[in-house]
Amino acid sequence: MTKGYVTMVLHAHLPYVRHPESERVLEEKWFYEANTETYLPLIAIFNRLIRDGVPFKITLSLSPTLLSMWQDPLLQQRYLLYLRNLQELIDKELVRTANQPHLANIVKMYQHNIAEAYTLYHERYQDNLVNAFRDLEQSGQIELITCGATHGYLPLIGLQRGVVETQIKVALDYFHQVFGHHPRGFWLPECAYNPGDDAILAANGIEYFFVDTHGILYATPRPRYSIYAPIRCTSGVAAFGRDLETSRQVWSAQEGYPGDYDYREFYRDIAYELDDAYIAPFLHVPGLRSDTGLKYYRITGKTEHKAPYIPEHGRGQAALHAGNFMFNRERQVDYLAQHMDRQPLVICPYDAELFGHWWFEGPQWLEFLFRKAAFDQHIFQFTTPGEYLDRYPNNQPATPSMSSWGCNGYNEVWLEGSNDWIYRHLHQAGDTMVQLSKRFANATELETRALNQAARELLLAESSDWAFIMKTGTMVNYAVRRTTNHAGRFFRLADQLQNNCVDELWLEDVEAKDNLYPGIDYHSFTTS
Amino acid sequence: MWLFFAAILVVLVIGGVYLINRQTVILRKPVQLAENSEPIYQLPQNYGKDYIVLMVKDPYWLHAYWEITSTKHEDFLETFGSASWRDSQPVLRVYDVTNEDDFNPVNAPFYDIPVNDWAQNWYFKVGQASHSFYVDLGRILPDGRFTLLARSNMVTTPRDSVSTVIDPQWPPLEAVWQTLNLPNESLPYGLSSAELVKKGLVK
Repeated sequence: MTKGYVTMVLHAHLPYVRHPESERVLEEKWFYEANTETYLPLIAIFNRLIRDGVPFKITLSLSPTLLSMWQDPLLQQRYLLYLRNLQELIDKELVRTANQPHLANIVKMYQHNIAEAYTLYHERYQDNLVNAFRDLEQSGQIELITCGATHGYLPLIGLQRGVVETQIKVALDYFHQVFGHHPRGFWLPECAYNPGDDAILAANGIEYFFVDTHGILYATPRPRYSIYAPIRCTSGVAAFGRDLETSRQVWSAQEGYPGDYDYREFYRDIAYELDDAYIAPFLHVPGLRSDTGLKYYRITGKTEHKAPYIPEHGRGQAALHAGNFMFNRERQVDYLAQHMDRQPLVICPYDAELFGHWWFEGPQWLEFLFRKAAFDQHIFQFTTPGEYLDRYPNNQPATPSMSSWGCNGYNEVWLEGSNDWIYRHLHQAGDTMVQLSKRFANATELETRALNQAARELLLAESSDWAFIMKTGTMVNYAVRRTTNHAGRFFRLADQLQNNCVDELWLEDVEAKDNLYPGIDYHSFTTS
Repeated sequence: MWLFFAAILVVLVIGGVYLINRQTVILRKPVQLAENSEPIYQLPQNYGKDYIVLMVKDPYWLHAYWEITSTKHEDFLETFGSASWRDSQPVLRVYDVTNEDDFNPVNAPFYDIPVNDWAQNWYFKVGQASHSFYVDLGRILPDGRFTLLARSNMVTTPRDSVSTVIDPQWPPLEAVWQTLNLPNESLPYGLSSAELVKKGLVK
């Protein structure tokens, strides 16, 4: 008999990176790599699980910027070129490694993976992965949700309520446009919760969101079930807390799975190992060595001398780790059920991009986990937050604590010496946008276009990704430029609107560059 | 996390038609524009307003940023004398309004944090989780008088511990809480995927 439930949540997000002015912008490769290594492998395993009748359940948060990139014809076209280029490199590698069986075996694995990715992407889903998730959702086994329009860090950008409302409303409108219905849940970017933001979610029909462990543990009043059941905010929205034990077991240095020595080593890409002349045609940016995705070694140990990857061994470890994860959840749920007067729920949220891109065997691990849990045990079942709320609609009234899942649990990753300068401009732009939306309640067609574009530019400047990159110290120039350009375009548009001199030719150019959310409505900045 | 997908930034502008070995693909041309249609954007140093904005960093630290216009500066000089700016000390007056119903600074306890005339932002420790604050940016004149330049928004620091408030209808289940094995009631924060990648825990 089922004693409790486990919810797997994958949050898939990339910032909006699209550069029509050049096909050689390195950051666009984030999107191509994530498609190849994370999203398509995940889609493949979900398809197999559904085909085989495995009763799994998963919650997927798809960010509006990622959905927009999947739908964009230019990026679709460029991704096909990327895949074909990779296939060509693999063909060449098959020849080069023909006399090195241990390497050739790995190249063949990549050949198979990329062929599967290509078939899924191009032939089955017509170059648009939104089609994949529409299909998968039909199975009833996948609950799709979304997050802030551009992944804005709500506790820090939300000086004006209209700014938070717009991040939420634009996201939900776009999700509805793409999938034909509103999501039941909402992923707060970086799990960053600010008490009161739930009221905006409630007003927009959202039933639940997630917070980090201490968001629930430090809730007021103290929650009866700790993190093993949702609490209900005064707005009526449910808050689910991340399980601590699961986070430790999967990711900790001592017990974590992804560092296993049989797993594929991320940092040994052939891009850095082959002759210039050989590798040059396959580099995304000419003359700059950057990952091709072909990595032939296993982690091996704490050594620079890496041994060749053996796919069968990596797969074997993924199966073992899935079994270990399942065993631990059985024990956990069994114990909790003995002490609770309802079925406990264990929430396991992760960034989707860890699966496949960083942890190469992650998708295999997930597939093994779902298969084993379905057939090898009866203690727990997988569920979604929506289903759990249907089962247990009466939850304890409590207010979660302000929290995030960033380093040290609060706002410091996105507010420190490297990135604090952005908020002066973001808040000023937010204030200006709110004023403009009031002043231009009834705008001309051209003004409406300029106002909607100003809204897009503000949203793009608000992406939490830029502050995070500034903090981590890699690709900082790009993050600074994106912030400056979007805020700069915003203020230029605001200035033209205020002076009644909108430059239509320039507006057209900016609309073409920052072209997401075609149905955006700037009125959302005028708070209700 | 996606952020680690690449290591270095390089942008090369290439326009027009691209030939790829397996198939010829013609990419759409960039929109043609007059030269200089897109400037190199630089954000303003100042917005010409007098303001101070208060933000929460964590349960113990706040961050404030501000701007004081030259007009405000000149008004100050006009009111208090030509040497008054030089002779006065800029401070952040931090009000703890946790127990105030109407956030009336007359009643709220406060203390001053000296800042300097070159700073436009400041991190400062309030050391009080789950407390509400706002800040006045002002100057203390030689005679001890405080002059307000700008007043901030109010913020509340987050909790840093388990609440002692119990809902009698939902009494906590101690056996369930014990499973967390909280070391000294504190949590190992920062287990987000991105943080773990950064720490090298995820290869």
